[in-house]
Order: sequence, then C-alpha cells, then structure tokens
Amino acid sequence: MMATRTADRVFAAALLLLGAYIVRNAVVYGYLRDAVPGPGFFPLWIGIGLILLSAVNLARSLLGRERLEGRFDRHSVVGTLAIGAIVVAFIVTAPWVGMVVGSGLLLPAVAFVIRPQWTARFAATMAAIAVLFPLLAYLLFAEYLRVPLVRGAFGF
Amino acid sequence: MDAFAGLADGIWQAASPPLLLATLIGVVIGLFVGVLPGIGPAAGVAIMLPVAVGFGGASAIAALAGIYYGAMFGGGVTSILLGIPGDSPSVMTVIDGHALARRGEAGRALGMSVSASCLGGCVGLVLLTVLSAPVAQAALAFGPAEMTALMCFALSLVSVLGGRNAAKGFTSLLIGVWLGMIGLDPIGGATRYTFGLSDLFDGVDFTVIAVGLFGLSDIFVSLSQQTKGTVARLSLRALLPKLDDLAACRWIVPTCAGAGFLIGVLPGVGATAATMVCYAMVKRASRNRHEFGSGAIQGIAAPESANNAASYGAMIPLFALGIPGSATTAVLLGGLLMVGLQPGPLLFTNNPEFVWTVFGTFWIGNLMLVALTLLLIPLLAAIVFVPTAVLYPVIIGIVTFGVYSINYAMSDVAMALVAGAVGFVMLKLDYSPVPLVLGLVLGPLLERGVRRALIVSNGELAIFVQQPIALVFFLLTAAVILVPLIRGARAGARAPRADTPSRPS
Repeated sequence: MMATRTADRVFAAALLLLGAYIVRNAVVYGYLRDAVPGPGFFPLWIGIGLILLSAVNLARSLLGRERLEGRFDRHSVVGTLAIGAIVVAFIVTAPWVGMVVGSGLLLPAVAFVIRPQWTARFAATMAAIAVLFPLLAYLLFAEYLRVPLVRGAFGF
Repeated sequence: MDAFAGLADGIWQAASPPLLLATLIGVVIGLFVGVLPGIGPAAGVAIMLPVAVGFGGASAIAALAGIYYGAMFGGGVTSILLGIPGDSPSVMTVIDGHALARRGEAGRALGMSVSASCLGGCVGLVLLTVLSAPVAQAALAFGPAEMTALMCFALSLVSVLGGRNAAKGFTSLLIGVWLGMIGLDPIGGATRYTFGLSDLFDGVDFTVIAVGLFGLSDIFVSLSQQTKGTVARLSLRALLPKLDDLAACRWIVPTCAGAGFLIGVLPGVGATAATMVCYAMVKRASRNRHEFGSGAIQGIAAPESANNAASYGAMIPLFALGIPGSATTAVLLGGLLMVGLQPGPLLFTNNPEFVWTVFGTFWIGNLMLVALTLLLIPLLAAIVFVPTAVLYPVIIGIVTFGVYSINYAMSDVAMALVAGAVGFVMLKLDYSPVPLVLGLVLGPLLERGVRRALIVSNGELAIFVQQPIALVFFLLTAAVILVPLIRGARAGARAPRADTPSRPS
C-alpha cells in the first residue's frame, strides 16, 4: 500500500487545490457588496490561508522536514473501504428495505469485515444482535423518540 | 443576600414531589440523550417539549432544563468508553478520557468526569445565583468587535490543540472554518459551496462531523491494530474519584467552571466553545502538557467542569434577557412561552418564586445526576469488555440511527461516513482533527462578528481596537501566538551556543 510520506504529499496537494477552489468561488460570490464585506470576503482569506499552509506542508514533506514513517496498511484501508461500502449500501437500499430491517443486515456485514472467521458461538451472538438491535432501535427511535425512520417494503 | 434567600425558598419548593418527579424525568432523559451519539441536548429538549409542557409551570421547565444539563453528564460516558462524543460539548473529553479507558482506567476517567461535572455544575449554580443580573448586563456589552476578538482568541489556541505540527494544525483549522461556511450566507443569504445539493443549504451539522471524525475514524484506525481487551474496574469504589486526582485538579475545576460559566453566558458561543477554550488553557498552563492527549486526568476535569457550568451560564441571558444563546436554550425559550411566561427582566420582578424554584430544581437535579450516573456507569462501563467484532458493528448501527435522527436525513449518515474516512486519513498523516472541529464551531461566529463589525464601522478596521474588551482579547491572542514563537526562537538561539564547544572536537 501507499507510503505515508507519499500520501502526505498527495493530501497536501489536494488541500492546495481545495484552497484554489475556495478562492475561485469566493471571487464569484463577491468580496465586497455596497462597500461592505460580501459573502466572498471571509472565504477568500480562508482559501488563501489554506493554499499557503498546504504549500508549506507540501514543501516540508518534499524537503524532508516532515518525516512520516510507515505505510497505509492493507488491512485498515480495505476494512475502511469495505465498511464504507456496507454503510453506503445501507443508505441506498433504505427506501426499499427500511432502516430497521437494513440494520439487521448492516451489523453482521460489518462484523464480517472486522472478523472474517466466525466460530459457531460468534455466529450465534451476531444472529442474536441482528434480531435484537433492529427491535431495540425501532422501539427507541421510532416509538419512543418519534423519529420518522425510513420505512421499506415491510412497513417498518 | 436576597438571592440566597430566594434560592433557599426555591430549593424547598423544588423538593416537592411533582417537581422532584419532573426533575428526575428530565435528568434521566438527559443522561440518555447525552449517551446516545448524534442526539444532542437541543434535539432531546425539542423532542420532549410537547410532553414536558403538559407538566405545566415550573415542572415543565425543570424537566426540559434537566434534559439540557443531564446531557452534559451523559455525554462524557460515551466519550470515555467508546471514544465517540455523545454530544458536541463532550468532544474534548474524548481526547484524554478515551485514552485512559484504553489503558484500562475507564473507572478513574468516569469518576473524574462525574465529580468534575458535579463540582463544575455546583460552581456554575453558585455563579448563576450570585451573578445573574450583573453578568447579563456585561454580556450586553459584547458587540461584533468583542465577539470577533473573543473568537480570535479561541482560534489562536490551535497552537496548543493542533498537535506536533503547527502548520498542519492551522490547516486543519482552516478546513473546519471552510466547512462552517457551507450553506446559506448568514448575512447576505446567498448559498456557498453547496455543490448544488439542497441538503447542504442549512450547512454542515457540527455533531455529524464530530461523530464521524472522532467515532468512526477511531474504528477505522483500530482495524489495523491488534485490539486488546481493556481491563476496567466496575465497582462503585473504582468509580469514586481518587484523592490524588482531585488534588491534581483542585484549581482546574473551579477555574474552568468559572471560565465555562462566563463563556456560556455569551449568546451564540455555548458549552462546546467553553470546553475547547478551557482544555487549551489548562494544557497551556500545565507543566506536564506532553501527557495531554494520552490520558491526562486534567484533560477530563477541564472540559467536564466547563460544559456543566456553561449550561447554567446559558440560563442567564435566557431568563434575565429573554435571549437564547444556543439552540437548546432557544427550545427552552419556546417552553417558557408555551407555559405562559415571558422571559426577560420582568420575569424576575413579576415571577421571582418561579425563577428561584426552577433554579432550585437545578441544584437538586445536579445532585440526582451524581447518584444516577454512578449507579448506571457500571452497566455502561461493561461495554469495554465486549469484543470489538461485536462492539464496533453495534456502534456503527447506533451512530447510523443517531446521526439520521438529527435532521432525519440519510445524507447526514453519508456525511458522517465521509468525515470518518477523512479523519482516518488525517490521523494517519498527523493532522489533528481537534482544530477542524474548533474551526467548524467558531468559524461561523468569527465570520459573523468580522462582517457585522465592518458593516457597523463602514469598513473601518479601527473598530476592532477601539473597544477595551476587544483590545484585551486581541492582546491575549497575540500573546498566545507570539510567546511560543519567542520561546522557540530563544531555545533555538541557545542551542548553537551549547553545541559550540563540542564542534571543534
């Protein structure tokens, strides 16, 4: 996986571009309006600050002043991406599956990412959680706190 | 002395069964709201408003206010045990509280959290009793220039909170300030940086970002680590604060409670800013500042005493002036109006018994919370024994429902996820997420202050130094930034001299 040092440079360069984007839009919003600060007044200075600081961070990394050891290890990156994908799937399918039922699928899926090898005992624990968590979440959020949860084809 | 006589009568009234029950309901729900990640006190008070108003009069306000300060207690529990701030004022507690829990000292951290919350609350209540009228008047003197100066001072503390690398700390701060600008321009009304998404018109919710940055990123980072089961002592004795810890924090608690109270009085600043300012102040003043971030007990005492005191400070503009200083007190204002009372100076004149009875319920509620938290903590602390493969999915489930409940928007869940991923990268690359959160909270206040001041002065920058309060804060800001630079320069100047004799050899 990518070395932390390389990632640091990529991140600093990305923030530099973000700063440029902030400045560009700040100019569009208007620095002054009727001789008083407009919507672009504050963003302009923030964008300039971000460009300068990102340039400093990038230069420090390139000149070896900022030494970050190690690498992004495969396990954490793949795990983060997998959990992210599962949560996105939960969000996307919520209008059909519903949040309550979806959470019953979300939890075992995340558990599988964290621990791919399941013992019979762990599987039983997760099965119990997959049933109990949605039930408790429904009672707490939908019934008690009156939160209008996203309902699916099952009606809850 | 009239104030204390009124308070004594108020406490007597607050001890009546209906008020005791209303206070108990409020603080239990508040604890619960504080423990749940995502649902802050404002949402908790708003959800309970229709129910509590049914209690009528002082009981209604006792229950609603109980939710507010109860959440301050509860927020610390999840911050320490799970590393997820239950609500925004408990964000700073995560830093040292969770570090202690990971070292197997969850009981010690929770004990300090409860005692600092209680003592901070008591200091806040004494100040509320004594200073209601004069502090409310002083807060009125804070115009845009003073608010700008105060925000600059708070943001300058990034030099303390920003971690090892100052440039990265300030970069993180600017990202936070930019995130705070997303949405409708608070003065002109134009939309900014919304990428055409209507969900972003109302801006980026602080709690969503905080839950992602502190909660989810912690889970992502720990995926690469061999997680060891932490050992926590769950007995009541383990949860009682240690005498050594109390001695180490003997000045921190009253000082931060006082500072938190004063910051809480200022409209729009609130308990979250109070915790950040106090944490940074204590860290700066500490001889062992290197311990902060890795489990310093003072790092728990400072924010927990500050946020509880600030929650009482916020009652001053609400009751004395009818000005809500935060989202939660705005909902409380709605509660006061719904029970037929108009908050403001006349409330103290026309309904003094009501005001003092409500203040009396605050004292009783504060004591109730100590007992309740100590009783419930052993149950909550059992969380640390749960294997991560079981705990993390449940946390992600709770975060998902909790974050959705803030605005009833799935886009918030996605935003928390993105914040978690960004937080993961930031932690790996040595960018502290704390300044980002500081910028997100204080950035919009700073922008509003700067622009209003310049509008009032027709663009004259001199307005920022003409007001004495503003000038003092700007001088403090300069000191916070310049003193470390001067010290660094002096140390740098000394270093070569020390090396000089060894060079020839």
